[in-house]
Amino acid sequence: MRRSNLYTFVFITIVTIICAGLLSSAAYYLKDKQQTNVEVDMKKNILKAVKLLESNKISQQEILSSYNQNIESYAVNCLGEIIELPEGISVEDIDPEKEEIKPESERMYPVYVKKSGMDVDAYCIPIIGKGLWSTMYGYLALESDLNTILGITFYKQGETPGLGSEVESKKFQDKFIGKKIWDENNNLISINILKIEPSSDSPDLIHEVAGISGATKTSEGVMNLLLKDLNKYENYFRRLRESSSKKEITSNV
Amino acid sequence: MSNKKTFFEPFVHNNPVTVQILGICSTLAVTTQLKPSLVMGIAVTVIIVFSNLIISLIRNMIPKKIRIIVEMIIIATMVILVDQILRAYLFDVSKQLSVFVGLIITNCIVLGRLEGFALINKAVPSILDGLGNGIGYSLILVAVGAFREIFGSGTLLGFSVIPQSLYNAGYENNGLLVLAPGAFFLLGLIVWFQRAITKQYEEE
Repeated sequence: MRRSNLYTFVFITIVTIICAGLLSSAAYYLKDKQQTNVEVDMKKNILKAVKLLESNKISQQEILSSYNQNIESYAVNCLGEIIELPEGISVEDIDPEKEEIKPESERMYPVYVKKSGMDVDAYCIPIIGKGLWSTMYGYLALESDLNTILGITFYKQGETPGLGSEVESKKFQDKFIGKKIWDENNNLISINILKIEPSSDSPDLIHEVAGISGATKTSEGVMNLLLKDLNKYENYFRRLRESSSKKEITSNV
Repeated sequence: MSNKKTFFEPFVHNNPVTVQILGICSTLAVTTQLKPSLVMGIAVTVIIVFSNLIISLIRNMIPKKIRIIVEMIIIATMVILVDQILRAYLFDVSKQLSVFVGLIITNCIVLGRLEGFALINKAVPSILDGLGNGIGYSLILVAVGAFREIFGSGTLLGFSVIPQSLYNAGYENNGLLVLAPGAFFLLGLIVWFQRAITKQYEEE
């Protein structure tokens, strides 16, 4: 049966309108839930990096309340000064990837700190960088000496399944725990990722981690992004380290 | 064709993956582990069933000239809906499946069923056809996914299934199986195995 052109136009218009209506209402009603998921996922990974999250089987409410109780957040600039955020923006809203496009002086670097009472237990910063195929997203947590690695997580990546995607595995991440990012002369040297298991008599053992076998490019990516992102915070970390060593001297006197 | 035959035919004798060789891309891509394979199978089944139903209901109204466009609109709408729902309620799995949910739009099985069946059949047989084909697709996905996870990563649904003593004795996970070529070999073996049993061959 042949139909007129008008019928065809009317038909396709109706179909399009119905489908568009369906999709926009779905997007509207599910938006809150989806945003909560993204937010919880981010907070969960910060908690994981600072070792406040032992199992994955905890509810969204528990994650949010644990985050609110234990974590404080603020932002610093490239000189290492704590800055006021523009109206209406929280630290959690800062997208470190977008900050990299801005001129250096305008960039905001988020810092998440774990506190117990007045003391800071751990500092956590976002780490982002390219692997072999994809951009990898994670968090790095440092102990209160700003030198020892407390934990590292990667929560989003598209590396080769089974090889590069091992960056998400606990086995790989656990290798970083206890490693140091500063050398004795107060230079920020980050972590060196080797192709082989570091030998136990290596003088730099505390800065070395074995990469993932079969995933050289991904391992290099992790090494580069750690150095890149630690450098962003170098000024801020130096200030903190200097002020804390001064404090020690005065308290000794 | 009877309803029963419509439903069961795609399980083996007319399986969309192993006989029609459709939907290969997703069969290779998402089957590194069992969980994403399962979710992908369910998502595709839901999408085929609903697209089949809708197209079958409006089949006499669709102008022939633009039927492919209409089919694509329906499929795309269904896929985006499923993607949105996964993001809201199964966030971890949707992160794992990432772009492959969106790519269900390009899965030939869906368009194939609409063109080949729903356009010329009533609603109930169309639902059965969609269910049958979805399950046929899922069966292959689950088989490949389970095999690859057990022998590629030594786990099943995330739990270790290969005992540590075997690793201590020198057993290693098969690295090939976690990569796409491993899935290709496996799929080829399944097709071979199936045809050897059913004696159903391509004609010369």
